[in-house]
Amino acid sequence: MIMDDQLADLLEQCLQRVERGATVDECLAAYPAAQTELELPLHMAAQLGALPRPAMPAPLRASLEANLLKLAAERRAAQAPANSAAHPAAAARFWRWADPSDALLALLHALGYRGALRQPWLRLAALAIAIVLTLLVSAGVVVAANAVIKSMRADPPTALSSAQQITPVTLNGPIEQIAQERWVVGGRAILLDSQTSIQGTPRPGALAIIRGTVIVDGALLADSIAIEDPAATLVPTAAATATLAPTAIPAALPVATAAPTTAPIAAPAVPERQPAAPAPSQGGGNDQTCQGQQRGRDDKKCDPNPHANQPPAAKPPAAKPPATKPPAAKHDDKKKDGKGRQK
Amino acid sequence: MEPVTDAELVVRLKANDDEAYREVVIRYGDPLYGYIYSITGDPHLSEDVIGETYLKMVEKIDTYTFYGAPFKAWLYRIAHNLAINAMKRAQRTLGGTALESAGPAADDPATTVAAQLDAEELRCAIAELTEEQQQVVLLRFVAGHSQGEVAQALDKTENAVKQMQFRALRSLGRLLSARG
Repeated sequence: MIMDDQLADLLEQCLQRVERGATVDECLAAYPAAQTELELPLHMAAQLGALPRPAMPAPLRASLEANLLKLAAERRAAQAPANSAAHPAAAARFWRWADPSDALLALLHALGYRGALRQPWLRLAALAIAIVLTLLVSAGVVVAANAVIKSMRADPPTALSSAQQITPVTLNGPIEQIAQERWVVGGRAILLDSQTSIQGTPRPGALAIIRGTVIVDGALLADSIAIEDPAATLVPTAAATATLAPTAIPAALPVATAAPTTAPIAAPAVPERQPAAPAPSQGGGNDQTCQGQQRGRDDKKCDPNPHANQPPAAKPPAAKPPATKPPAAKHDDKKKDGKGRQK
Repeated sequence: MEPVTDAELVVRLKANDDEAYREVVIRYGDPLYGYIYSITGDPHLSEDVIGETYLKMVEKIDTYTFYGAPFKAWLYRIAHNLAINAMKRAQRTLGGTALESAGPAADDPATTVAAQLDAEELRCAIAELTEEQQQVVLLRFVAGHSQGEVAQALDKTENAVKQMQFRALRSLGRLLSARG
């Protein structure tokens, strides 16, 4: 048994053959299996085609044409003042032209769709698309605004750290700790790398003149370190203090006033070198001169002129922190006696 | 004068061009009248319906978009709806005897009485089909539209139109066979 779908296809093929001049009997003979099913529809199609379709009577044609021309003239007269002035009808026509459903239809036809579309569905689809596009644009604007705000907030710290990295500073102070890549000079962490040049023999207590740059975390990356002979440094500097200056090497500067151009980082370091409880100095009452050497030191060792009051071979006043055992202490191990005391 | 496409015709109709109004009567007047007559079977009713069809076309031409249904399908849809409504009004007014009392078309001397009766029976059978089936058979076999044009006019696929066409013709045949 042939299904209706197949019969519908066969019927259409027969109808097209009839339109090209074939007879109904010829079509039925071409499909003997479907002859019974196709006979009635083919005859009905022929009867429908034979329905009388008279031509429009001439008087009717003339009357129709006259009425239409009259309507056209009326429409032209009605639209003329609307075109010269800003008439609401012109705006209504504009909005009809800008109807989203019309735009959607034009787009579909541009993409190749040739079917008819009902206006209600078109309007609904156009409205849905407009809502989705509005939401997408809004979301994009919000994301872009957030990105701009984040970038504006992130800029200042970056600019500040860049300034810090390129500001040269000079530091004078006694060497407190010596390690492979990290020294402590005048209470300040000094970082060394392969580019750091060292002049002289570094040893705890020696005066170091360090030139370098302050890096992000506040440490000083040394470009060059000059170690001065402890005896030779007595003349230019009455008190070897840890100072921090952008370019020059000050003879003696109050610690509180020494401030490099990179103030936000260097300034906090300055107070660190201030002693929590100033102790009386052995050589005099000038507590400022003992600040650099005073950290973790025994009171007796607080001497504004440690090098002047002790023999050259004596241990440096800043060499021995009582609480911690610095790496520099390793250098003194050789000099200790069997009881662990330094000779 | 080179032939004007339907798209250009629509543009000129919207611009209230007199030549465009003449052209639309020349191009679609006779086919529309014949189509309407095949539904109503009455010349006077057909004259009224075609006048209303063109009037409706002028009223709605500003809102018509060519990218939707083709102009021809749009015009036939207007005519079909007006013809069906006119038929229903006439049947209500005359108590269902309007078709039987309609005489042969005065401008069609070739039409025999027998043929007229056959046509009347066929119209009655058509009226018993569903509205979509009526549109399919009338547009396809009376107005002479292609299957694609019928699909566009009814906003359906060609396959759907093919199925409806087969079932409508089969139903027509069964109705007429039942009448004897």
